[in-house]
Amino acid sequence: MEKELNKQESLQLITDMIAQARERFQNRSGDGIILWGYVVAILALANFVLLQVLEGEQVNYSYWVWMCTIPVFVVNYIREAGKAKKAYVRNYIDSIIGYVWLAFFISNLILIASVFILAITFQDYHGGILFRLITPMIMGMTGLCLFINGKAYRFQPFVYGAILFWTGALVSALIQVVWAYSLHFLVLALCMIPGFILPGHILNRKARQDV
Amino acid sequence: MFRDLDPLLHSQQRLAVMSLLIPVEEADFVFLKEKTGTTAGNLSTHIDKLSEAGYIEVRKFIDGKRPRTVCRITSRGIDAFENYVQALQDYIRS
Repeated sequence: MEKELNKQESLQLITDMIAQARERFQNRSGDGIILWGYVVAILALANFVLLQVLEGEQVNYSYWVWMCTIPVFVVNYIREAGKAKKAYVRNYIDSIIGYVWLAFFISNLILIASVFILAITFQDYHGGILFRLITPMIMGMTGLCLFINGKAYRFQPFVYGAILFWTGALVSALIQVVWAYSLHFLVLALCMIPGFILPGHILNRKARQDV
Repeated sequence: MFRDLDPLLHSQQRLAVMSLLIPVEEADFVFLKEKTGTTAGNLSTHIDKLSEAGYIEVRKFIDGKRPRTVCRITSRGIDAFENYVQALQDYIRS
C-alpha cells in the first residue's frame, strides 16, 4: 500500500528526486573526449614529423593527415548515438553539449575549406599566413567548447582545459613568430593531454561513482 | 481559497516519477524503477496512469534483443506539475 504523503513530504520528495536525476554523469561520458585527445595529439605529432621529413613542395601533403579526423568523427558520432539509446537517462545538457561539438566540427570544416579555397586561389601554401592561422583559430574554438562543457556540467577540469587551450592558441601563434612554424603542432599535441585526455579520465571516474 | 491538489500527482510513486522526469529530456523504465525503489508492476501501473492523463509520453521499442520503455514529460505534464507545486507552496505558506 502506498504511503499517504503530507504537503511537506511531497515537497521534500520532489526536491530529492530532482536532485537525483540532475546530479549524475552517464557512465563512460569521457570516452569521446579521450578518443579525440589521442587522435588529435597523434595527428599533430605526425604532422610535425612529416614537416621535418618532407622536402620542397611535398610538405603540403603533410596536412592531409588531418583527413583522418573525418572517419573518426563519423565512427564516434555513431558510437555516441548508440550509447544515447542505451542510456538510463538523457539530460538536456547532454543533448546541447552534443550539438555544441557538432557545431564545432562543422565550423572547423568550413574554416579549413575556406583556407584551402583562398590558399589555392592566391598560391599561399605551406608557411603562408593562412596555414599559420589554422591551429590558433581551432585551438581558440576548442577553448570555447571546453568552457561551455565545463560550465554546463559544472566540471572544473574542462574549464582549466579551456584556459589551457586559449593560452595554447596564443602560444601556437607566437611560437611561429619567435621560433619555427612546425612547432605549433607540438603545442597542440601537448595541450591535448591536460586539456582532453586527463579531464576525460577524471570524468569517467566521476561517472563510475555517480552510476 | 486553496486550489485542490491534483489527485493524480498526489501519490508518492507518481509524484516521484514526475519529479525525476522534470529535469531530464527522457529516462527509461530501469532508471525510474531504481530511483523510485518500487516494483516493476507497480511502476508500470503508475506510468500508464500518467500516460493516459497526457502527463508523460511513453515510447516502447526493442533495443537489440531487449524491450525498452522510455518516458518523457509532456508540456501538459509540466503545467500540471507546476500547478501542483504552486498549490503545495500555498498550503504550506498558509
